[in-house]
Amino acid sequence: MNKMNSCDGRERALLWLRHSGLVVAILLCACRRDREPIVTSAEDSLASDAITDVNESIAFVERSKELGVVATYRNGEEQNHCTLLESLGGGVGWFDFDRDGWLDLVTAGGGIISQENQITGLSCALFQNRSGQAFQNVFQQAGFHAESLYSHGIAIGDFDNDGFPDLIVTGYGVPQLWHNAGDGTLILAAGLGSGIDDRWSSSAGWADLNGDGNLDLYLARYVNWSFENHPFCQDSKAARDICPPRSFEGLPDSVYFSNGSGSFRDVSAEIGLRTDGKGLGVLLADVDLDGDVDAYVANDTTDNFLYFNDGRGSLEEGGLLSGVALDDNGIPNGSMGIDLCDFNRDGLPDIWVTNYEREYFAIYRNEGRGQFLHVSRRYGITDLGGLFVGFGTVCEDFNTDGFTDIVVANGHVIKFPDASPRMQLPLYLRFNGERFQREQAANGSYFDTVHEGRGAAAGDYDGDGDIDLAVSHLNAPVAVLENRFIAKNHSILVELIGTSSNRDAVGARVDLFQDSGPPMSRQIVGGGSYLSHSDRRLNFTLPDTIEMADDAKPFSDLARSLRLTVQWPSGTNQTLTVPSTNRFIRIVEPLASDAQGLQRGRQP
Amino acid sequence: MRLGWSVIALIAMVTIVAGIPVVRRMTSPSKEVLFQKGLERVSRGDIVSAREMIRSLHANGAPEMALLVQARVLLAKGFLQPAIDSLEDVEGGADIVKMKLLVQGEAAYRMGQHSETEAALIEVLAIDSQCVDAHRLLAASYYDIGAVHAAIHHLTQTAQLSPRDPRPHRLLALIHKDYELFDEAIPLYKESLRRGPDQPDRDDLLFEMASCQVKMRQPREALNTLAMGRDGIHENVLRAECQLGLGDIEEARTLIVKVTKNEADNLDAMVLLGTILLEDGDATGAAEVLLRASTKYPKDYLCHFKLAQAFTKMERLDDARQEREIAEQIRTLRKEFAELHQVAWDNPEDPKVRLRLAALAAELLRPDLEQVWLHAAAAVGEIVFQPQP
Repeated sequence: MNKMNSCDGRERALLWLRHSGLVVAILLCACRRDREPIVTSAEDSLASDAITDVNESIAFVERSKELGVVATYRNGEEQNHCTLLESLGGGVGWFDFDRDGWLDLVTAGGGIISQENQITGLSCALFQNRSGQAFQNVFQQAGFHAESLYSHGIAIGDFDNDGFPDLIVTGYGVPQLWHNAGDGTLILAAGLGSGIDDRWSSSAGWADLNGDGNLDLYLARYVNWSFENHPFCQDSKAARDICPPRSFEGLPDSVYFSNGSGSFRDVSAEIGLRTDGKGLGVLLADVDLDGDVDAYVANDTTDNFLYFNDGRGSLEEGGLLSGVALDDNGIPNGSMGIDLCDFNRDGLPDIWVTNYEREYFAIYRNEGRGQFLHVSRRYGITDLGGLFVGFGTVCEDFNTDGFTDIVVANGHVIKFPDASPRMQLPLYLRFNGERFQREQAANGSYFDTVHEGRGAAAGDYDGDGDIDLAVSHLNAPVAVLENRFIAKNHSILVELIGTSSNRDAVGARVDLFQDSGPPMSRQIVGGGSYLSHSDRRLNFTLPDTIEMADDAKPFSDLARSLRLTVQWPSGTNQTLTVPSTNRFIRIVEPLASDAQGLQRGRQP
Repeated sequence: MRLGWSVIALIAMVTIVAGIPVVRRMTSPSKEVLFQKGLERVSRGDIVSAREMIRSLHANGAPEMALLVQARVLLAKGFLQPAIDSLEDVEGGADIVKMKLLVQGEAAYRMGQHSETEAALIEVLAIDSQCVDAHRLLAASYYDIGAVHAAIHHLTQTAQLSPRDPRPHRLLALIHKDYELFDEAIPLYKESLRRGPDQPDRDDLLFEMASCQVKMRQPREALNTLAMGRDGIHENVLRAECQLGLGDIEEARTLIVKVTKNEADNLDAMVLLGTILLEDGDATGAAEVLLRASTKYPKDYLCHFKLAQAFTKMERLDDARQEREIAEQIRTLRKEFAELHQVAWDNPEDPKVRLRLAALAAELLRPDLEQVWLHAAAAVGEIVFQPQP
């Protein structure tokens, strides 16, 4: 959320304002004036040819209204305070809250700001999924009264390992920890740590950082804005606007270790956190493949952090060293959304980051040994056409062509932007094996319409085997986007249940091996996207025919040769043969003596 | 009869002789015309003719106008203080005073005396708020000391008062470009180009505009813009960057090779080549190029930043650490340098910030910028500064 706001003192990489002698040359030199003026041929235009011209449009259908998902995130901008608080927006989260096999949806409610500078929260919504056909907001019945908090983020994790997913709601005030009682209700749990910490929090992620089998919490915090620290900022046309993040000091993030009983202790000071970030996005994943969960933090206008875990929860920040702190010009970006994906299928997890409008969205290609390279230009990310302020983002193979696609929810952060509009088109980027291409949306469809997008999360809410989406907007209804791509290929949905490891199996890595070629790798991550939570189940799609060394065989013939290996956070490794395709597979972590551990799950 | 013709001839002669001054008076130019011609001759660099006009003005009883043209001549020949001094006693109507102040303002500007420039030209604008030359000079003076808000104001006035002049938009565009307001810079460049399609530095303008388009993620538009200009080294580096942005690595590589054939040590080309090699997985090749670049340009941040990445990839970890430390030092300097521009912008009369900018420029091995900021500091404060030749 890096806002220029005319001139905000941001780092200018090559700002050599003083063009020695140039002013005289330009202003005072003699200049011929006897020619008729002409119009230059370099006209403003969107690079429309950057949009791929394939026939297939983006096959998502917006169904929120007919499904009964009626929820709007409110940011309280009506009083024109122009607070930074208004720009963050809210998140969404997919989770099977009642464990009926269908993904439910939780959405942040935001808040209102009175004329007298009073900040009040609004209800979050909890939509119970009725067999994929309808949703009902059950927040009242569930006792999910989160309205004491001006909310932003949703992060879901079974922090007490009881099999029922719990959640945390972040925002401007004390974050709320909600324990899922398993009877259809959520109970507000005791606070995090010993004291009351109401510093502004944004995204959060759950993962077992210290390897004790319980989920710990990484909580990103933003900046020290308050009404007591609310400078007057204006845009280039002198209208009051939201101040850029550079006007404020960053707040240090927090890490809470689980005590194992549903309570937590604040270990932020002990484990080596940096204090100079302005955190908006969190991704917890094993990026260096050493068997523990690392933490990547997207910061707004300051260096992004990559904390390498020593396996016991001690974190060492090495973002700069590993090449993921800055862009390829060595400049910190206004980073918001994050996801992990092995887009080039080399078995190494890459990091995808959405950024502010004049910055490239970033693909940090994993070079191995904890090293990354910013390669956005090489893969077409710099040729999207137009400028975008990217927030929520999900990497998934939505169209089941075997390659990772990327969805980005976009929208500006200030009221009167100059370079790009406040409401922006969402992006669907299709990877063709060499480059990402921006896909053309059908007229009038969700992806053909501008929004002020914020949180985004993926999940197969209708149980048809493909990945759907939920997207949150500023002051506009949440969208539920049903995936209508015609399935080209076979998909396998894998759910992991930890026993020695944390029950959510965050940090587990699953590789799908074919007879030849590199495996398809996926990880169960904590956090990700922006303020949002995607379904934890892992989706694999495989080409209809797999090119072998000598010929191509139908997939069904090859299914028997597919193997799944699971590396559990506990260190247990497991190898399984895939029983068939188009399957939902639930894998329970085996005890040391149990070699199999595979259960056949049902397709919900 | 003969006598008659003789009388007529005599009368005619007398009439002609007597009428010469009258005719001369009727056909000779007015002092205003002489004055304008004088100024015109000076601006054409025709000092000999200008001196004739000065003499004529004296002869026509217009000593103030003669002195004004004379002051212009002095100005043109670089005798700045004499130009100011020569007008000390000139008095007259509003037009004369305005002209006198304009000359003095320009002389002061060229001597780097911002306060004197400002004082003279503000007075000019009090007499004639539409005086385009005063706005133009004030814009230049404010720009030079880093008072960009004021510079933009006077440039905008200049542009309005002189609707066919492409220069104000060019400088406005440049200011916006420097402050990374690329979206605002691009239409300003276009307007400058519309006003002056054949302006002398058109190719530079096209290059600057294309640079802005690259920053605005418009590589195709940038390539179109570059296609209208020269096929120079810098343009080809920018073309290579556009091709990289479009994902055409091979075309980018070809362009870089073309550049380095003509200029082996081109910094941007070397960095781009290093980047491509690094992404190719050829860390050794990248390190070789980047090492050469960082030796040649030891204060270039990107060289050291990328070189650290190449060394890391090669597992030369000590070298990588060293390069990273250097990069961080440069980054810190650059950050302060960039932030102080904003401070200078907001504090147009503060010499200290300008001195600090000069010191930072020196540390960043930019003596040209160091000189400019030293000049700016001297122009706004009581700082003794001996400009380097």
